[in-house]
Amino acid sequence: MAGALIVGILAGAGTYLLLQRGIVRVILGFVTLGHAVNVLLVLSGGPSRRGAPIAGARGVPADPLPQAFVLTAIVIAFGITAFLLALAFRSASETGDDDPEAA
Amino acid sequence: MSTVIVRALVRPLGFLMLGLSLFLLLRGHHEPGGGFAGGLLAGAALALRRLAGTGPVRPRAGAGAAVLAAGMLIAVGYGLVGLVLGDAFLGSRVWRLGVPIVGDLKITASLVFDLGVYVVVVAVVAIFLETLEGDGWRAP
Amino acid sequence: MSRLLPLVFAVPLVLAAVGVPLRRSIGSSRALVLAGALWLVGAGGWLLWATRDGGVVVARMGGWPPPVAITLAGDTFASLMLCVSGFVVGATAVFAFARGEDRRPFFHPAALVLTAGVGGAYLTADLFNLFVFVEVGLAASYVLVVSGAGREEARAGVVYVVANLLASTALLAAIALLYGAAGSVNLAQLAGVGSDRGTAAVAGVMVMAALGIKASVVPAHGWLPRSYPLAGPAVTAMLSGLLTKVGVYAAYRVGSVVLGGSSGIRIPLLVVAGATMVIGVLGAVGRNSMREILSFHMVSQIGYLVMALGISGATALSAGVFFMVQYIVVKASLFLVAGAVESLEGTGELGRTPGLARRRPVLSTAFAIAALSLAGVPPLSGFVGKLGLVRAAFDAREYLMGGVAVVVSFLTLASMVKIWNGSFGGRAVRGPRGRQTPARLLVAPGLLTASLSVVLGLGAETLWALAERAGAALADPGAYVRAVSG
Repeated sequence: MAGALIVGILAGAGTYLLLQRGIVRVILGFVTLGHAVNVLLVLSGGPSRRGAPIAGARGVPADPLPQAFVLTAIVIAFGITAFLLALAFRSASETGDDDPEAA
Repeated sequence: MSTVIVRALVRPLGFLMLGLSLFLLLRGHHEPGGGFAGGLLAGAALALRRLAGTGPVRPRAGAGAAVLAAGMLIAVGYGLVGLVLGDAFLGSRVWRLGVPIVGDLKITASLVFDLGVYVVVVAVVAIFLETLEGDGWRAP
Repeated sequence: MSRLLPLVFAVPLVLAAVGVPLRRSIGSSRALVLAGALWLVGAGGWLLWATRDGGVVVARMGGWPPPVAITLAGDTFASLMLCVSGFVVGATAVFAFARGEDRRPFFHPAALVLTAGVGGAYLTADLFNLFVFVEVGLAASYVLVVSGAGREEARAGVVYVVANLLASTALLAAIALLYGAAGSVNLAQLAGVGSDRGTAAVAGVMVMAALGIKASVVPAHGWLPRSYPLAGPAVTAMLSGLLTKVGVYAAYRVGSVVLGGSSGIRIPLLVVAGATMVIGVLGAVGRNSMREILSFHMVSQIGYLVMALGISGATALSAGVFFMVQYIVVKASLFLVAGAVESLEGTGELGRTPGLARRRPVLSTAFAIAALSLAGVPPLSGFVGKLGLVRAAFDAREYLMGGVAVVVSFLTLASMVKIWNGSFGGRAVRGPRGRQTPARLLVAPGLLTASLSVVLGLGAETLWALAERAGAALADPGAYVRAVSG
């Protein structure tokens, strides 16, 4: 439940930011939305589905797959965010504002 | 940001961060850490140096891209070596070494892949800093 | 041999890495890109030969056992796509060389990374890796789209990046939900989960929807005509053949394996297909530049591909595969000709280059062939593809869809005639001149791709047989699933 709330709040905030005009807000929106999806990925795993991956391990094992997914997604999001920020910086230094649609 | 305190601290802090990033890189196979986390920390050290204004005034243009390519070559090359030596792309091996004092040491071949990722991430941060270093923005 | 499958994307990645330090030397950079394109064609050809008995070539990365390993699987469909993608990369790269468009920063490494991402996306049998490979290709395409200097291009770039990033985020969320519902991202383990488990079916449909944004189907088509015409002409041609088609290709795979042709998605897919065809072709009406019109037609033609998926069944899917392969060639040809006109005449606006047919007969012939093929005039390849699709629609008693497809074909023809009258026909008056470059290399890629369309039309038998094999495998993915699950 808490996880669902976190995903919901992050996704809502991200969507709100995406709908703003300035490109920096759009980028922040993507970062937030990306976090929502990452939390969703973590939540999608579950130890109940398959037993411990290593025979004889004690305790409740974590599902390793979603963690690998999240790490990969974070890496990709990191690269794209850096690229977008550089793009925003370039267009801002060319036009003086960060609104990509301003004619 | 370029205050006396930051400038004084950037050198020891930078070395500390670099050391910690290497630690993260090395332990990353079974413990939290790895190439990406380590690379980001090393990148943060670079950013700190840039913020303090003690870094090189203007790095050689395109240096970051060459490092990026080198990291990519390491990572993909590792996969190819696995294909040639082992039986599969990205195939890995594990060696156990009994080192005196340190104890039982386990080394996985995929450390090379992690190293490639580490280099790529540091390069991406460097390129990013290089780009933002353009005409509009100065360390205030 | 099958363990060599990762080389399909590893080799272009190595070439890209090698190309970065070599990027000041334009000759070796160009050679690297062409080598990457040829590599993809060769790999596709090898795979086509290796799967000639309808088999599936499988490689498991890291040497892990089947359910754990990330699996790559190549079948007839994948090898056809590899061949045609490599061909498009090569042809558009030559065009970029001729225009000097490759002098933009990082053009060559980006093109090679794009090649690698697309190649990997065709081969992966793992949804999460599909996401990763698509992202790799997209990241490279962002560089290609944005690296132009102009303000217009930067604006187009922002639209392009934002739309695709949103689609990627949606795809990732959908994959997370699918993993949560079905416990795997391996296509073999997901086989058929969409047809019997409720939540997994919803997640599978979400995956399809996210891929739909990438393929620019209505109602998520707006980004494509707003960004493609503003990117560099060679880049537009290159992306037109690669990235949206990866979206469609993945939708075919997911629809075939995960959703198992379940009847629930049939009606929504057909509605979307019809809307995409009609809205795309109508959107082109008010446009006044060649590449803008062609971009809208791109949306419209995606509708045909979705229609085949909606009808499902071996006949429709075979026709869909055939249509997709030849359409990639035709579309690249049209964009290449449009780009050549822009480079030679300085503008792609209709009505600004009267009499082009007299002044540049070869270029005009290439356009005429490709345009007629797009509209579906016999004996060109587009006709064979559309005939197959319409027949499949009528066979499946989808008379309305078949009718829409035929009507849209006529509208497409009208639109192509409009371009012809606006830019090629009329009396030869000197239009505004562009750069005086050696024209031969600018025209050759468009002519080459257009003549391939003729070959694919006249010699349709061979490709049709391959497409039938691919379509049958899509309609009954049993062999694919068995091969992947090992």
